[in-house]
Amino acid sequence: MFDKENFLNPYIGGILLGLLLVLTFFLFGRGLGASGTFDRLVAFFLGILAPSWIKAHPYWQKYFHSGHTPLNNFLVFLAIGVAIGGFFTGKIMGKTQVQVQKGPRATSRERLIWAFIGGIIMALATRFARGCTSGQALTGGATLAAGSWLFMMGFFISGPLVALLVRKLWR
Amino acid sequence: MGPVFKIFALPHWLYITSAIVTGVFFGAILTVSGFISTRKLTGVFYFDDFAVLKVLFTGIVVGSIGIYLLGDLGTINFQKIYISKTFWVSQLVGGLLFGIGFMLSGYCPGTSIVSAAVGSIDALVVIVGMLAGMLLFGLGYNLWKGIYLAGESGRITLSQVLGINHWVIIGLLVVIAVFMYIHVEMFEKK
Repeated sequence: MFDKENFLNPYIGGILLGLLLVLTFFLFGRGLGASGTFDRLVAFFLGILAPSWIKAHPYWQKYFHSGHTPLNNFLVFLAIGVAIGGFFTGKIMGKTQVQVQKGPRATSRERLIWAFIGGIIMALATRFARGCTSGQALTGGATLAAGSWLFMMGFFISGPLVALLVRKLWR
Repeated sequence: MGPVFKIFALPHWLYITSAIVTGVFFGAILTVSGFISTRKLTGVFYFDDFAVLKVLFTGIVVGSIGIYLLGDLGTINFQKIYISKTFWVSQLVGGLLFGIGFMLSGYCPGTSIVSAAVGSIDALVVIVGMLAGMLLFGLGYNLWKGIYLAGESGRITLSQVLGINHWVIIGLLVVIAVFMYIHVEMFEKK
């Protein structure tokens, strides 16, 4: 059931993830997601700096319609749980370690610069896609939402191509 | 009887607590599956570790069977659940960009959270990058609003697009999954 690195068999992991998704729909009427939290965090801080500006902003105003803070949201609570669950599971598995993960041929400096740039591009990607691997690929995929399958198609086309270009970062 | 929190007027603290507990399980599954490791995550596109593909696709298949089964049984009211709207142009662009961001950063947004939680500095930098990216998207919104709203097609599913019953599609997904897994397992053994 566990491999030599102590990671769970991926088919069992997938079944658990699928069951969790079904339970989430049964309880909350919606699926899992991650990227929305980062957008809401940004909107929250901008809301402190410039409250009237953001409430009229063409993109961010949607987070202020309810009258609550953008952080009072399912995805944000979920993300807090994800961090807690990740930390304790890592602790139990003996995998907590302060480190920079990278391939053997990359320097830490290169790795961190690309991590930052990759983070920017990934954030933009999630806005155009309306979600990420959790909200679109997994949740959208399981509800058979048409756009989610297009998102996955795009991801599985550009991913392997970029992998060729950045091999030095990872292998 | 479901979705529980949309149909019954339950207290907000219970909603918050349940959402956090759901997140704990989500984070635990991502971590125990090894998605704290960039080597494992990027392996899906270097064809030396297909865990991402196996977990994600199995999750989709099991999830779709469960969601549509409960929907057909009336346990979940399909009118009250959230199904992502399709903006086919924008989402295709998003998918293409996502592959770039994923391979440069080594994570997706959810896995960056668990990896940062177990101590990866690089994951923390990815999160900072994502916050910068979110800021950039909102500030430049008028520049790419045209793409963002392009291809709006409403709340449509594959079964509506193709005009086929959802169980036929889910059946096809199962067949594709099994076919894919057999080949991937043979490939990994080489």
